[in-house]
Amino acid sequence: MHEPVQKTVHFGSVLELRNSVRFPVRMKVKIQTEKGEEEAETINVSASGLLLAFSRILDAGSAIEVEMIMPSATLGTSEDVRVHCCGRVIRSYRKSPEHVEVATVIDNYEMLS
Amino acid sequence: MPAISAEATKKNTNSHPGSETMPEPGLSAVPESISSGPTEEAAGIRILLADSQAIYRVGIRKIFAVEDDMRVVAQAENYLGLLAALERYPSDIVLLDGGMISGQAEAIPDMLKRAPNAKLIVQVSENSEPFIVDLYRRGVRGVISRSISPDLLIRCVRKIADGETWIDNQSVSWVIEAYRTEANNLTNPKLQPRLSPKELSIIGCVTQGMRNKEIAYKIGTTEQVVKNYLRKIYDKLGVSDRLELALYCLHHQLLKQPAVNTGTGKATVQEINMGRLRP
Repeated sequence: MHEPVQKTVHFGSVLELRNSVRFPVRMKVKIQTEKGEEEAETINVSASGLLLAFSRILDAGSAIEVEMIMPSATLGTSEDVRVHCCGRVIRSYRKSPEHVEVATVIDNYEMLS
Repeated sequence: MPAISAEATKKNTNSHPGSETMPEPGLSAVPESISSGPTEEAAGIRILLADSQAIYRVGIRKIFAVEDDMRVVAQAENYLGLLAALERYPSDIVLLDGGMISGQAEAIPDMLKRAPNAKLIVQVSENSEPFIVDLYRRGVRGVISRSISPDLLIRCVRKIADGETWIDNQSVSWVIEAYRTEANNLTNPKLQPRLSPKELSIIGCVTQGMRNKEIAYKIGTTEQVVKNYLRKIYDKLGVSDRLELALYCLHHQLLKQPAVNTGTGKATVQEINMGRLRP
């Protein structure tokens, strides 16, 4: 072992060791916020969360529902696959004057054909 | 070597007068573990020592003995003894000899299943990248050298008991690289594992939102068989649930592959899923 330089780190703050792999899948989604149904676009998606491109800041901790349509043409199935996710906003931040990114965690989901 | 230390025998006798009960072979309880009683919370960090070499156990116990906030609650000299000790003696820290679990891939998950709150520190005698990365991947909180200095060991135990992870610079690089490689493998369409027509058929059903029971009915098998297939598919693709599987398919266009070799000819996944061909 390399003995001389031992140090402790918090995995959460130093290394990104997520359980789920994030797939860089961009698709239009419908989101349900406290203001009703709106449109957003995924930047990346994992089984535990989504990063969305959206038009405005959402409050951290607020509930969010996301409906994704996985197109049959891309997925290779006979019909589009609809996935309904319920979760929470973890953080949202302005990347540029008109571009906001919203990170959400998925608490549960349902795949609907 | 006796399976039980003199201290443990004495303690057993003291705590259970007349009792013939003896700890499992390979496991020895030390006095502190039994005298703690209801004041366990205030008793500091409870440590379980697991090492096949008595000299190490004795030495390490002496190191902890002078620390007010640490106490060794049990010792184990082999893996079976360790498993028994984990269930019998609640511990905050398990300090174990890496050689004891070498070649046993499920040892760490097994231990954590038995004692979910215990934090594992593994002592290794050599710097093996795959072994060390695997230890961290499976949930070990710290990997240290068997030649670690006593001061550093004490610091390591305190930090890990506080909820931190103890990792040296070299291991940080290894772990990051391993996760990077794993992520690349999962997102690189060129590195796709081989899937049988039946597996592809089941994936097709899953991505359409079908439940296991429905899939079993469709492909003419039992729900348990479908579960087995799914477990194998998850392992092959490195995904953990149905949504991740669907995302994997979407990203890699897995089900869009033009043809699947069925052994007797070729068929599209859609054909398999539509029941035109049963692999």
